[in-house]
Amino acid sequence: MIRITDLTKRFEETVAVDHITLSVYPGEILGFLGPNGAGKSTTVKMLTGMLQPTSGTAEIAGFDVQRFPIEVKKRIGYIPESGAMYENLSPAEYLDFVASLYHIDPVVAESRYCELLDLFGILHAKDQRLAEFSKGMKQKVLISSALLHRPEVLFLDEPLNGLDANAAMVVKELLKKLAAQGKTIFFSSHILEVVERICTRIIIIDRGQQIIAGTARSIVEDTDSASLEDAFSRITGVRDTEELTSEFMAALERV
Amino acid sequence: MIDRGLRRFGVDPVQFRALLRTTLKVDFRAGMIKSTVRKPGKRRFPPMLQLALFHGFLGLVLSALVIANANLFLTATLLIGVVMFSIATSVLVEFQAVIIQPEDYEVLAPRPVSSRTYFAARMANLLAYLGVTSTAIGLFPSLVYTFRNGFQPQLGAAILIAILGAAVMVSLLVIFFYVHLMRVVHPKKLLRVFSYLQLLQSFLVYGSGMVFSMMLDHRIIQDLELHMEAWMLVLPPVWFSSLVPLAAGEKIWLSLAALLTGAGVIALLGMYVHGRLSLEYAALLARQRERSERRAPSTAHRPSSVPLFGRGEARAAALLIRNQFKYDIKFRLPVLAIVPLTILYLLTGLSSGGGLADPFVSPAEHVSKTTLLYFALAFFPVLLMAAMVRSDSWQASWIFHATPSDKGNLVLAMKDVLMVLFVLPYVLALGILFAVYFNSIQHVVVHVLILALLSHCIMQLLVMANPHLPFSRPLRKGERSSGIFVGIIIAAVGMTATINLLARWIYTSPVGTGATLVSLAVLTIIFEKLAARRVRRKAADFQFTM
Repeated sequence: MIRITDLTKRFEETVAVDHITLSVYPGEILGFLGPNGAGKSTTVKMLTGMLQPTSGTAEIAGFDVQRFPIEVKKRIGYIPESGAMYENLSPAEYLDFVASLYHIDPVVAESRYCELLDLFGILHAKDQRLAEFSKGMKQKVLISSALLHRPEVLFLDEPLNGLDANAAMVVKELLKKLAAQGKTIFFSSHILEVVERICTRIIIIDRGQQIIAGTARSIVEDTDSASLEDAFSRITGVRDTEELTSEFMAALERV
Repeated sequence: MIDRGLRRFGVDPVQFRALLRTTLKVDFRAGMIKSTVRKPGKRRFPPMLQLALFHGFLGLVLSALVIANANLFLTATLLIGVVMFSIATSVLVEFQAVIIQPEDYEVLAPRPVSSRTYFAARMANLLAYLGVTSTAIGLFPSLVYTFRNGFQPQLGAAILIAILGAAVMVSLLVIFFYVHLMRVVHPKKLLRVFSYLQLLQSFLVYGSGMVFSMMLDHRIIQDLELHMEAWMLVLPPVWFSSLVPLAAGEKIWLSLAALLTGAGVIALLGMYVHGRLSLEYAALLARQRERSERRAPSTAHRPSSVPLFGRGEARAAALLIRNQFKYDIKFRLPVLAIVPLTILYLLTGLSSGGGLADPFVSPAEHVSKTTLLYFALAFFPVLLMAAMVRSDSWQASWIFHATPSDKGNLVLAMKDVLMVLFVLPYVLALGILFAVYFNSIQHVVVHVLILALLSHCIMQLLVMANPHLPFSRPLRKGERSSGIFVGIIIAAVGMTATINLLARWIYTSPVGTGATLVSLAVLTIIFEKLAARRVRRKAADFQFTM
């Protein structure tokens, strides 16, 4: 599980994450939403041990991220938004390389990554260089690399980027099944439809602060909105879209 | 007034300033990308200044030529020739950063920027780039020309102007050929060819000091003379070098003719380039770049372990380094740079005849013939470590931070992999060479063992001084060259002093030799422990920031 208490990150004068407190339980898929620059990626980077928090604590799978980063990293899988990989390697080589970083036996690693690549339908291409892959194929390798060591907790930052409809469906089903197995999933995305469909709970943050938490339905009801999209725009301070559009048009005419 | 002038040429002054300001910011701004070990926000030395440092060193070496020979025309012609080659290589290798960027098309095509404005901004940026590199190369020679025979500032100014003129002409020539080449050769192939040219350029810079010192030693340069004759008007360096004798009042008419030829060629090329440095040209580059390279289907790349590095961080480091060496030309070339350098230094040692002497038998002779070879041996770890850290794939290094890998172990494993895959084979190759010349195979074994231990000590010191994760920092224009330069000087001086000490005083006694071997082995163990402690401490602060 994930337990965050008063997590804060400052970059000089800017407060990127401001005293966030939340918990995610095994079997849950938490949708982590927020407008651009809200602090989503910074939060994920602190939880994955890639960035030191300024204050507050984060505990993952029973281990404090700052005190036991290695123990935490052994138990988490992470799919970053950037998705950069060493493209001079083939998927098999890259996954072998990642497996080595987790100290997984090369033979065990091979059987695992072959299974994952097969699931995504790219096993036939496992010995081609990643540089020759399309964006979607690379994303499939990236997702495989995050699942290779069978993590207890998964952090996904826009994991469906570049995937075709079929692969996206596979990932969504996979996440549901992993949650059903008791894995904890932290799903950061801009795609409200996907979040609404697969996440058991949603947290919306803005300017580094947690604004609201609950199921999609409860958020819609609590904000007296027509849909999650509507609720999101209200909560994150965007004024009525129609009014805003009219102002835009007027401004354009003035210019 | 400037604005009016620009408008007269159909250039939008506001857009021109905006475009120029942006490109100059990119070139001259200190590195804003935070490294893994520096404190966030700490600024680095601007890459353009690092480039200037690199070219400044070349200028320093060339100024020795100006000091050694009194013939103004000869020294200026040689100097301009080297500068033309060096600038051409730099511009070719970094064409898409220096001259025109395909990305420009994506950014500017939808905007109301005319090709003429774009051309003017690009030319101004190119002149700034050439201004920095030319001034850096010309600074020391210019000082020598100014003060060598009393105070003659006109000579100093003449050589600076001549270098700038030659640089402009060469750059225009590169633009002239580049687009034609791209039509027949794929940009990726071109990049590979240009990277080999860059290797030649580094070789020229690192090897030039040695070549000049050799020429000075043999009084080759001092005795050379060159005088302006009509047929020389066909030599491009002469079109610019003739400005120096002209400034001294020599050969006025011929020098003027040469200068006019140079100016004419620049004007002709300028007219041609005017039609090339346009947004349409950027679009062509973008299209050419996107065009897939015709190549054989990808061969299978199955993971196979490197002996000694079978598990964990060591396996990961070995896998990565081996593949980057295979496919990343920007890693492979600096590593391969050691081969021509070694051959050249070896030939220099052998040029005096008698072969490489056995240091146990003729220490003084051995030292005099192999000093440069040991320079190369000292360079190698520095080249390797520098090439190892900076990469175009640095963004992929997030994986080291998101996995439970021990980053300290990774850095140490990287050092070990480099030692086993590159340094040891290199030392063994030197051993084979020594076996040809040394009196006893025992001498070869002992000497090679000592060299291997010394090389490992250099690797350990380098990793202690500047620990970084493999391929984890971005490549920036000129940064690698200047970093290597400082490291090379320190390593080369240390290695030469040690070899002198060994050959002259220690190899004379078997006990001393044995004691040295043991001491070096102990020193390596101590260094390993110190390196492990320091690297682990530093690795704790490594953070990944895009």
